[in-house]
Amino acid sequence: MNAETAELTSSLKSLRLGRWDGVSPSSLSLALSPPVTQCVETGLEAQLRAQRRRIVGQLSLLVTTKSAYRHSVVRPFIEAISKRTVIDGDLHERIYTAIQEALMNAVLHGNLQIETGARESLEGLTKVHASIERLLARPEIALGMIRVDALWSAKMLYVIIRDSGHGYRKDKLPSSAEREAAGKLSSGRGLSILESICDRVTLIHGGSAIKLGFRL
Amino acid sequence: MEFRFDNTQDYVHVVGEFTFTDHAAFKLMIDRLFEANSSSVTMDIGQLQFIDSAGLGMLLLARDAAAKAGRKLVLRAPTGQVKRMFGLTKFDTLFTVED
Repeated sequence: MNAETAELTSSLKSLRLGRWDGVSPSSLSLALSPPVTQCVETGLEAQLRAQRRRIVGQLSLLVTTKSAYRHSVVRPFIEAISKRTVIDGDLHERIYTAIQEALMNAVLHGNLQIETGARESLEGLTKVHASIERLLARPEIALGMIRVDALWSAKMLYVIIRDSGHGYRKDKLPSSAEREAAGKLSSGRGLSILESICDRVTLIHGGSAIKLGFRL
Repeated sequence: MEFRFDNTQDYVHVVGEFTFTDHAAFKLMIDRLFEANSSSVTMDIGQLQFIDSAGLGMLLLARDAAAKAGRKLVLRAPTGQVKRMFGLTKFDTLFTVED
């Protein structure tokens, strides 16, 4: 490769790589503007380099746990997909509901390891929030990674949400009947909502990632 | 999520998007709503545009807290995504939901 080709390749790569400052959803929208295919939040560049070969999405986003918790990152991500392929109104709402659900699940249970049972009263929730703030004050936890990849064809859109946790097994989750019998109705319905609104739901990598499929 | 009380203490409008991270605002709103001397308190969710499973869970916690305080919590006028989420999770069978 001569110097001119190398420079051109490098410039194309930099056009396709977006960098998000983690400040606001609007700055994320800008960072995801076409022709970007991979967008990384400041501080996660090394993780992007380490994972680059495994990134399969036509649009990928790497964000920190702290930003995924503090900012609405899902709306700019879906807007970015809709600038690259057509998503109609009803599907837009279903995709937003599903990705938001899966992303918050990845943040709370994957990266922050919050137990579902801790949210069974308003007072319990207050304690959970206080413990989340303590966890996010620790840089090694706040900078944990959440990755969202989107792939699409003319017929299907897939979105994969990955956390940095240990995963879980679906058969180990209490059923809705078991939750009802235990009087625990206020949490634990995320996965069943995903199964209702997505056309396909697959837990992958031992439950540390979830693949959501939507017919376009 | 934002909330706005009418002139009465027992009727509140909930506006915007309601997700897990809105807990503090929600708790504040519930505390104020339960200060009312009415046997029934109403949350008008006609301008609520989005709810996730955590938001649904918090509504259930509020319903239980209302029952403990001897009050009934009424949800009013769900529309759009919120109404569809209620249907999907059979939430309308767990609450008094008015159109």
